[in-house]
Amino acid sequence: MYASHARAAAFRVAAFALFAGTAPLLAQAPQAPQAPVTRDALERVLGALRASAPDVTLPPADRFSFGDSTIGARARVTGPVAVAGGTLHVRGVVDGDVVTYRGDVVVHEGGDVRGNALTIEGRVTLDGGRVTGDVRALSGDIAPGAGAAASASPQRALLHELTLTAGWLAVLMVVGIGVLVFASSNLGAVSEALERDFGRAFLAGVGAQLALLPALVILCIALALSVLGILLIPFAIVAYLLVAAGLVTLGLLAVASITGRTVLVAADAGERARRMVALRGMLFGLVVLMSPWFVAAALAWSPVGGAVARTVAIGVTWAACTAGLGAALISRGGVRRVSARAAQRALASASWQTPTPVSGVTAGRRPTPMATPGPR
Amino acid sequence: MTTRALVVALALPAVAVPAFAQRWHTLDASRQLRDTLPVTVRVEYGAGKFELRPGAAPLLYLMHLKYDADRAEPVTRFDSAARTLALGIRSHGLRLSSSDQEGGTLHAELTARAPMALALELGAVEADLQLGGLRLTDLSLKGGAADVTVRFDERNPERLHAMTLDVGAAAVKIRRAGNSGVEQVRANVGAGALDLDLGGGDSAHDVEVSANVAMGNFTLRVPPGVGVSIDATTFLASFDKAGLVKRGDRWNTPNFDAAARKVRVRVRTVLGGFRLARDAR
Repeated sequence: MYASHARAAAFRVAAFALFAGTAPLLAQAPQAPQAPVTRDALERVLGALRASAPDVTLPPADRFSFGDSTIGARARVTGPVAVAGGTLHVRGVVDGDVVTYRGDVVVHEGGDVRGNALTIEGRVTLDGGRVTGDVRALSGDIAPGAGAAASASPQRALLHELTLTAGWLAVLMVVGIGVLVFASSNLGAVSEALERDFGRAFLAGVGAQLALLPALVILCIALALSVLGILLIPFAIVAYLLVAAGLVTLGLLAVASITGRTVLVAADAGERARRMVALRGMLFGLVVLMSPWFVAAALAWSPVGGAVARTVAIGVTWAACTAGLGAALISRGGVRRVSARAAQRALASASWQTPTPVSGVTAGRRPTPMATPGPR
Repeated sequence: MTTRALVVALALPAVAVPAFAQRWHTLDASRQLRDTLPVTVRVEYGAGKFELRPGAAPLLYLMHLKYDADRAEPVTRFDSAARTLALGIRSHGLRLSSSDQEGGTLHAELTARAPMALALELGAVEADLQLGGLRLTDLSLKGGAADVTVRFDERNPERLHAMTLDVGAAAVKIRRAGNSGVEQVRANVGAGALDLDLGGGDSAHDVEVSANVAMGNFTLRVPPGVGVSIDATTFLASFDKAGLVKRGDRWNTPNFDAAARKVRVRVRTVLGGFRLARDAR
């Protein structure tokens, strides 16, 4: 009773931790106040835009003037004319582009822009004037960081990592439930092979990984040698990869089951209770196996810590997948039970059939009393 | 409680992933119309929702685009010498999937004052295209996995010389194409479905339709008064001949000789299907 409460509490804590880790980040993400327009900020925005939209011609940051600006009615200037943090009024002629950042472009009567008019976080208004080229107004999540990759805040990056890991966990859980429902005997056989000899399973897994590509090449060559087989090569490759992925997944789920089972011991109860324990064990095992990834995700902000945690996570996952793959191969995908084979071998042996060794036992003579001399 | 925790774990990524994965930009772009010389327009849009219609303002084009700046970049390019206009988005990476651009939209308006050859190249797009009223001389539509409805609610002031439709795995519906004044339809249907309605319009000129259908379906709808003659080559394909009269190698509607407006169809299909419906208006 106490143990079941403790397990439920563990799941509650896991669910809460997922939310607790992400909810504050969700709350923090939007609504950053607009920073004042500085030349550094402008350079970062222009850099980000050049990276994401190379077709858009942007002048360098040092061509921008700050605050409102006007091209006079009789003035004729050579573009680009660039303004940041203010409105550009065009009453004369601009031979080239006009660009504003956090400001509008207003082309008044008589104004003529003989190029493109572009505003970044602003508007272009044609108040009787004309623009020969394109009129563009770009807005939205225009990052103050340099470049697209740098635009994501650390909180968003952390959220990204955590949700990605949670997504993988969710996918594995769904697959695991499916395997438990539809292929529990296969899973049981793989788990058995793993428990019987982990080292052998691990070595078999390493061997399988090394042989994976050569075997595929040999398969393709074999198919290519036959005329009709050439047509089957694409299908064979897909089928081969699917089988390999399936075996790895089955093996990983078996590792998760065993891991969970070490914590959640099955009560000697009915079939339903046993299945529930198997399900809980697998889910718990998956959480345990994925926990290094959650740690790595949580440390994503730290270059060194994140790298170390990620290496550990990769190592743990690789070991689990390798041993699982080996066990899946040893058990032929869970079709052959190792214990069944051992039992058959034992059955084939004649030694158990009789308590008397087949080689026989030394015949004994019933002891007889020694002859004693008596009266003749 | 276990179930609840499981639901939480499963639902969290679905809720949270879209919140971080995209960096949305919006671009409003337009170009003032200088003349009414013919122009070639090409619209390329990989994934998202797409609307296209004729514009009322004296603009060559007007475009409102919402896109994920991490995965795509806008295209608005006019070559005044070649008289070509390119609109849409181009992906940064290998491809754009529908999930990449879920929430992306493109609303475009094109001038109804200049004759236009229009080429549309659409990926995983949900498109509603109102082309009635445009001065179309040629129309090309390529749909990968799109769900496209093309409508000609108003008459095309020009004669549409050719309508070329490449329907990969898309579902393309063309409504009231009679209003387009189309003379020739060329269709290639892969595994998708093409529903071409030649209703609308009162032009008396004939229409030539040639279609290659692989594993998809092609439904041709014509008004009851139009005469249809079909040259069909089929292999393991369905072709409903009910109501048609065989003459030589062709299958004709009974009114074919007397009809003022005729549609001649040449269809080749393997494993696909072709159907003639005489229910267009």
